[in-house]
Amino acid sequence: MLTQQIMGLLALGILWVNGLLVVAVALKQLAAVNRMRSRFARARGEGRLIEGVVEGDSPIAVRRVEQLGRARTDTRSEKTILFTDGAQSFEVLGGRIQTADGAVEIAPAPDESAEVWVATPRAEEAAACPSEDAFDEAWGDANKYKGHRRDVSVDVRGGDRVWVVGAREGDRVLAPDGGPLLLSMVEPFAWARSKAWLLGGFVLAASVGLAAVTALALWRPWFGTVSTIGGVLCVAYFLGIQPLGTAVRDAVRTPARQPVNGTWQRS
Amino acid sequence: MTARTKARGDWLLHNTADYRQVGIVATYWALLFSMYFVEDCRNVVFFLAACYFAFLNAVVIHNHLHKGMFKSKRLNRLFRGVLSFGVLYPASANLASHNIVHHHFDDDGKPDWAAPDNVGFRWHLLNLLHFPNVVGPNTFNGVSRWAKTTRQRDFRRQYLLEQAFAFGLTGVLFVFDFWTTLFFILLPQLWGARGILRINLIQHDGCDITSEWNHSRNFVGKWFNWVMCNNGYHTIHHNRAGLHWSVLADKHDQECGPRTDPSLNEPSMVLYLLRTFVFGVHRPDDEDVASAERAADRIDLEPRAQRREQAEAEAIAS
Repeated sequence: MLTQQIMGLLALGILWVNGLLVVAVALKQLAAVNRMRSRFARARGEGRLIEGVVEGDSPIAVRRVEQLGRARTDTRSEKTILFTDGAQSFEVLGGRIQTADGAVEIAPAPDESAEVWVATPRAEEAAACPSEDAFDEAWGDANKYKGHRRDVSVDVRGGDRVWVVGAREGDRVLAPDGGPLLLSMVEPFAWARSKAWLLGGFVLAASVGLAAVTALALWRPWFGTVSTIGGVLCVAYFLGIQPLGTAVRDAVRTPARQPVNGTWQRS
Repeated sequence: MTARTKARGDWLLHNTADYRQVGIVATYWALLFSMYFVEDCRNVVFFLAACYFAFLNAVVIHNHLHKGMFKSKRLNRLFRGVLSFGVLYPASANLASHNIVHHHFDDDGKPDWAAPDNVGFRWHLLNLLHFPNVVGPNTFNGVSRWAKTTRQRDFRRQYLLEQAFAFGLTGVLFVFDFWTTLFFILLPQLWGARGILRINLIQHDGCDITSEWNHSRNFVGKWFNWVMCNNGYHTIHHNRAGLHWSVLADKHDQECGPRTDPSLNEPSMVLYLLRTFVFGVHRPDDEDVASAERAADRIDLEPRAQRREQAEAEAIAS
């Protein structure tokens, strides 16, 4: 006979194993963010992380994303095309940036040795619909099985404040051996700090939540009213912690891995 | 005569072999409600059997969503609701998550939602345990996005009805008896749902998804495949998704034989699980499993993009 006590222990065991696995993954992500922050700090100490403003009118770096657009079929009020990202590549085209200590030249770096972090508003700008004609042209394909394919280029250009992490050769920064040349529109320390806070907060909240729902479920008398409320919360926790865990995973991806996507609408 | 035309149906089913699947689902419901209503049935045997049949219920979802088993389209849709209750997720999710995205290891240029590299623990057993925690939300988000753009006009309504039935019936059972439902209905349901997600890791980890004949791990035991409705023959199923499950064993021998690396034909899933996840601590290194394919004679197989298009067309039609 499987008594309620036996099954309760089994259910709590399942809850804890899975809750702790989600927390463990968040801790691994936190460690990765902290390692990245340490790399930035080391690079700054060695003069390999520089901050400045891009000179000139030409783009200094670009993030290219292949996208597929599909027409929404769940709404008839306005025509909408949803774009999703496919393969992407980066390129540092090269140029000069003006730093507090003078001008620094950024050497070109092709895809395999470049990583470009673009700011979200710039990505949104690049993904936006350029004209009604462009929409009409895309709409036909977007309604077909194969969808509408397009390439989005998100530029880092003159006047943008950037942070560059690479190898330093005098007044020149280039791709280091064994790693990419990072050119970022996002302040890397602030990024790492905010992600570390998010992950730390999630780990804490998930752990406290797990302990709290367990304590309620084990409230005496077992399987009484309070304990049953605890059981309901345990089920809610189990079902909720998984999408929360993946949402946090998505939120802490570096800007290079954040999707560009995009939506075009026309009434 | 081809394997497809050998299928023998009757007034109810396209293929009478599918009575086995109807029997699986009926047995599963009997197990669940026996435990719910009869206290004496709340024992280890019934509980383990219910968990096992919950997984088989998910296997039936897989087969039924590839090819509706009933001649009546309405009955096919109703049966999806019944199946949805068994694993507490809408069966129609398989149309997008399995038939289209998983079969082609591609979501419009992005990876399969259930790709093995969604998990990355060094201790491989943790990967097996954690896999559904990641792939479940990936799949739910992916299907929700796909539903916004699908050309299958009644998908959203059917998806909603299945959710209403599955969550509604489970909710009613919870209201009448919370703890019995949690222990003897919900746990088997989740075991089945999470088990079928784990199968993606089991069947594809360490395989070469860029190849045509070595993207999947097969489990070729005869008894195993009788119980599992031939779902052990995964390579041929991926490549010839339109084939009825009952003919997969023969087709596997004919087509996969020389093209599939012998290491991807496991005689026993239990032994594989023990060897890989219990006795083997670390994730096995990738090997060049596609070498057999390169050495063997070529065989006609439509390009993946074309097969993906066919899968979507069949999904709309069924």
